[in-house]
Amino acid sequence: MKKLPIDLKINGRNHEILVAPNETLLNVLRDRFHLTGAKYGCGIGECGACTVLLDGTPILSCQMLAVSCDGREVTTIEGLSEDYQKKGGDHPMQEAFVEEGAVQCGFCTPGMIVSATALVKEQPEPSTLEIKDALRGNLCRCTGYENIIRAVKTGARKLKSIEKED
Amino acid sequence: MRDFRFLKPDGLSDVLEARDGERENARILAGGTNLLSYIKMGRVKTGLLVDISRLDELKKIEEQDSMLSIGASLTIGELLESTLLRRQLPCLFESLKLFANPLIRGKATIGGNIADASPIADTVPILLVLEAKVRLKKKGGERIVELSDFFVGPGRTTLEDDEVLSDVLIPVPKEGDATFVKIGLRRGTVCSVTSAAARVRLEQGKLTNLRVSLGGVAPTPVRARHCEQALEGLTLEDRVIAGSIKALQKDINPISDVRGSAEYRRAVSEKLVVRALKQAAGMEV
Repeated sequence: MKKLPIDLKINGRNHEILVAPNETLLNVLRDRFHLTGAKYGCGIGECGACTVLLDGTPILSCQMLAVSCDGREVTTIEGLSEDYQKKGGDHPMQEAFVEEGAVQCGFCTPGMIVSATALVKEQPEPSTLEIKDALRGNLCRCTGYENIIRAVKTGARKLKSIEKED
Repeated sequence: MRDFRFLKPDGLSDVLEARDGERENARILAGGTNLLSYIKMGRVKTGLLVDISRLDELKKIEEQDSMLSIGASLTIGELLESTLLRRQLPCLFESLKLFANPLIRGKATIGGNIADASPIADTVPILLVLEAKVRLKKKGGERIVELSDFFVGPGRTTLEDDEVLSDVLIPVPKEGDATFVKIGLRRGTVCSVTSAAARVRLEQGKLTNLRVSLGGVAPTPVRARHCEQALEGLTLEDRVIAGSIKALQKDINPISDVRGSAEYRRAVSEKLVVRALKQAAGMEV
């Protein structure tokens, strides 16, 4: 299969890579860049474990061809936390998930957090229903969703107070 | 051996050229939520993937002569941001909120949902009661087909292998309202077990200009014409329509599968149609 060159910005850095026409964005992120935060769950767009941001919008990276992302910008869970880790912490939404016990096995968590941060950007004070709607594409099979919903609210509050400080 | 090539077209003419030259081997890739699954399942093993997802010509929504044209490559999410759609076809707008989940809505396109020809495509029942048409373009020509004539069977349509579905044409209803309801095993990401849409106008309390359609109860989404005829002129009261709604059974031919039995689908179809009728008539929320 003939490989094609694409320009891809991943977590703020530009890359020029060759991809096969049927190679998914998820495989490129995991296998070539070792960004293993996004998970391969169902592989057919039902579970949301592979969620990443494409030009700021949450998408299923297992349902996205890498070649279709030419010239676009991808942010993974690793990219979300990068700036905060330099200061010795995690992204406020990550901290909220830990504090609220919204993580059990952790497989769905990166996708949940990516979807949640996208929601909070649009809606800084999301209601329970808005959170449920925003997370309908992200399945958790361990814990139930109560703690996750609480975590998103806590994360939203944390992000808001950080913004105020800035 | 799987062998794929990729085409990022500069314009629709490139797409039509590819379809003209490679026929069904030129596979239209819009949102990819179906096609990528088919590739993973091995149902699609080769071909030229023609990415129409960012083609401006297919991402327009415009109104002309009381007809709304929706470009095939518009995603469900983009349509939910369209003030024109919300104003002119609120029933379609509202029904799109029931479509899958935000992650799928961000990629799945209206053209793809139609052209994939699933019996449970969630955009189709409401489009059927709105009497939508699809525009099919090919190199050097185009034709417009009634949506109700477009589907042949599961995954099969009258689209020729040199054609591309370019836009959906929907007459803006002057009066009456329509609604879409679905039954799934949960609320998010779910395939409809059965879905229904209805469009009604009440004249002195009586149903007129009735349009009813269903998904998930036949090899294709269907207009329920027997049901429409049987209910026309009746008042929308449970005891009045209880007998006539049974005419619906002649319109459907459900199967049993992992999501539900044929018997269940037959029973729930009547309930869903009544619910859709009452919602469209403003009698229930």
